[in-house]
Amino acid sequence: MSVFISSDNELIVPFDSKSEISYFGSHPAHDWTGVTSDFKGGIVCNNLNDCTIKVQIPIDSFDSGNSSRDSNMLYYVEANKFRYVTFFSNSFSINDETLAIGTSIQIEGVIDFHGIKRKTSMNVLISPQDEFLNGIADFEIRLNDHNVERPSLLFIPISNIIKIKCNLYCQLSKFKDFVQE
Amino acid sequence: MNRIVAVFLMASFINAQFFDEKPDLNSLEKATLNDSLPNNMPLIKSVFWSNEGLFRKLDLAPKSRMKELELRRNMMQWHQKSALINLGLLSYQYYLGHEMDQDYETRSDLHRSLGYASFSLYMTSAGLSIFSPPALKYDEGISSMNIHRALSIIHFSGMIMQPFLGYQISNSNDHSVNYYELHKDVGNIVFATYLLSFLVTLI
Repeated sequence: MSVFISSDNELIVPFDSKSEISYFGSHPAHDWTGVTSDFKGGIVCNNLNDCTIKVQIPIDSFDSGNSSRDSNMLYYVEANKFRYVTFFSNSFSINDETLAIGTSIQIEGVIDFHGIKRKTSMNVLISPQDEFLNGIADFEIRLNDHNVERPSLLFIPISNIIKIKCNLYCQLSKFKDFVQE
Repeated sequence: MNRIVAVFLMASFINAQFFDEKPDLNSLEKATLNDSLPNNMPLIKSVFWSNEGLFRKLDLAPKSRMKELELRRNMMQWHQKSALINLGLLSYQYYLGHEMDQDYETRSDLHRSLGYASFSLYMTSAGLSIFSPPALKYDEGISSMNIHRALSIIHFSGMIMQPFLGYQISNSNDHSVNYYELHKDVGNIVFATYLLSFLVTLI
């Protein structure tokens, strides 16, 4: 992945390929997890007090380890019409403490899923991990908020709440270089 | 005005670096049925639902892939429900079969009637799965769904045999004991694999 500065005062750092986003579904009979590393996005900063996160995930990239379940999911979320889930955050700050030891930041933004945009808020733990700046976030979405019909197993529909976990990595040095510049 | 154009160009530039562009409508229009049919669909699905499949040749297939997926969803929902009800029937039938040694005369009629019911429901449930349109994805290698399918071949074969073996117990003078033992053994295998097949769907 490349890192570049698009203008004198803007930094764009794509997520590293080791980044992962998972969803956790639940049903009285069992729980399951779908994972993807095949998504695009990154952090865009005008300056470190004005950064945003952008993520675009192809729906069909999620793998839950069960093709029948994945296929069912693609049907219910109408992946042929709504190919991506996207998230655009509002502006947030990355300070020296974040880059040195890590901080917890409340980030707000908009999720576009199944063609319906919803504001959401999440707590993101951002911390340096070797050569990466690592962001971990857990939050929930509700299927009925996005007008997604819930599939049923053995007469019982799956839980309306889907938990999302993001584990994102960006190159740390680019932020440090940006500060120095 | 220049500022608006600059912001627009910048936004386009950022999105172009990160994101896929919107799908090319021309390419979507040119997409064929094969584009959404998995290459690794099970053989039985290929027979009925491949591009040259029987249902397409007989013009029985829905007019769009989306309609096919909707039909599949409904058929698989009924497959699940009928299979669950049949698990209850088969469990009692299995229990009854093992109790036949103690009181054959009073239980054989019920066992036979329940056999007809469970066989019919089983075949209905199997038909819903076998004849349903193909899914969007199929696993490669060992997976819960592939184990489910492998087990279903075993219990389906056993279910085909059971009515014949049951009939032979009542009507074969020379070998009824052999048929009786075979009917029990096949019943054990059918019940065990059917139960396992159900349990792996919960993984």
